[in-house]
Amino acid sequence: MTAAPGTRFDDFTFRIESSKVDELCFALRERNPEYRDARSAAAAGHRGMPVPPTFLNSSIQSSITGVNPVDALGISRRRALHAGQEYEYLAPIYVGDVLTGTTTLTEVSEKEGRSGGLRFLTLETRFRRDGVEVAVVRNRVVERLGRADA
Amino acid sequence: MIADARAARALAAGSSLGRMEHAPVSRVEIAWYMVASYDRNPIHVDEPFAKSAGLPSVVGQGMIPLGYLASRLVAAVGHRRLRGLGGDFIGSVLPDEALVTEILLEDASEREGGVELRWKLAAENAAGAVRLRGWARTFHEDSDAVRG
Repeated sequence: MTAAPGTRFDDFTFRIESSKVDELCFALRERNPEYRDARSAAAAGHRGMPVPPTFLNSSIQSSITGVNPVDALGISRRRALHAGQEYEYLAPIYVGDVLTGTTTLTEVSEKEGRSGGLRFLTLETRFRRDGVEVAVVRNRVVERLGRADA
Repeated sequence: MIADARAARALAAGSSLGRMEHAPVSRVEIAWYMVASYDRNPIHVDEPFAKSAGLPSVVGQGMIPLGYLASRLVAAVGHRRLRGLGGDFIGSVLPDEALVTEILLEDASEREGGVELRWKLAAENAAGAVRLRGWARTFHEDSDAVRG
């Protein structure tokens, strides 16, 4: 697959599982009880248990569709780094929600760095629940292309 | 908590939510973040692989300081008021590295029904090397009856 802007990956649908929230909370030392205790969440005014702001990402599709967009675009793990991440929160989401995501390669650009060419790619995943968009996640990847003379 | 528009308007641009020192990022936490995020990149756990990629050691995820900063924002404004978040992962987070995060109010804009605050986010290591620069947007309604 070539890295052409507009390249779109298959939709993927999943349920937000509390066990995945637990894993993220452990990794981030998250102590907010609203994410893991239904009574605390209700007391804070939520209609369910919310998820941490960085919970959603596009890689879950690799376990559903068998395709990870970064791999599918032929980007080497040795040459790629996660350059940045962005979130837009359009509606609250909760543990138990069933979401469908669609990932599109929205931007590709190249520039010459000190140690060779760099390619910047943005993978945008739009998540919806019952057909209504609830969040947008943009995953920015930088790939070292190496020196032209190498 | 910075809840309604009145509380948001009371903040001056440049106000800091404070610098926070975080205990060193452990290799176990880096591995857990891989699992939590369905990340299969060996660069986070496999030393020979990381060295073959030209790195001094395995590296942690830029998402870790972004997650710390998001958690601090939620504590300051409540979950529901966070509308946007982003970060540039400027330097690799190394294992056993202690991070310092800071959140500054950049500006406030009047919007229909309330005030939008824009925040500048930063994470450095203890020596002052930048690991992340980021931003966030929060929205504070004129009539804010709901907690959370």
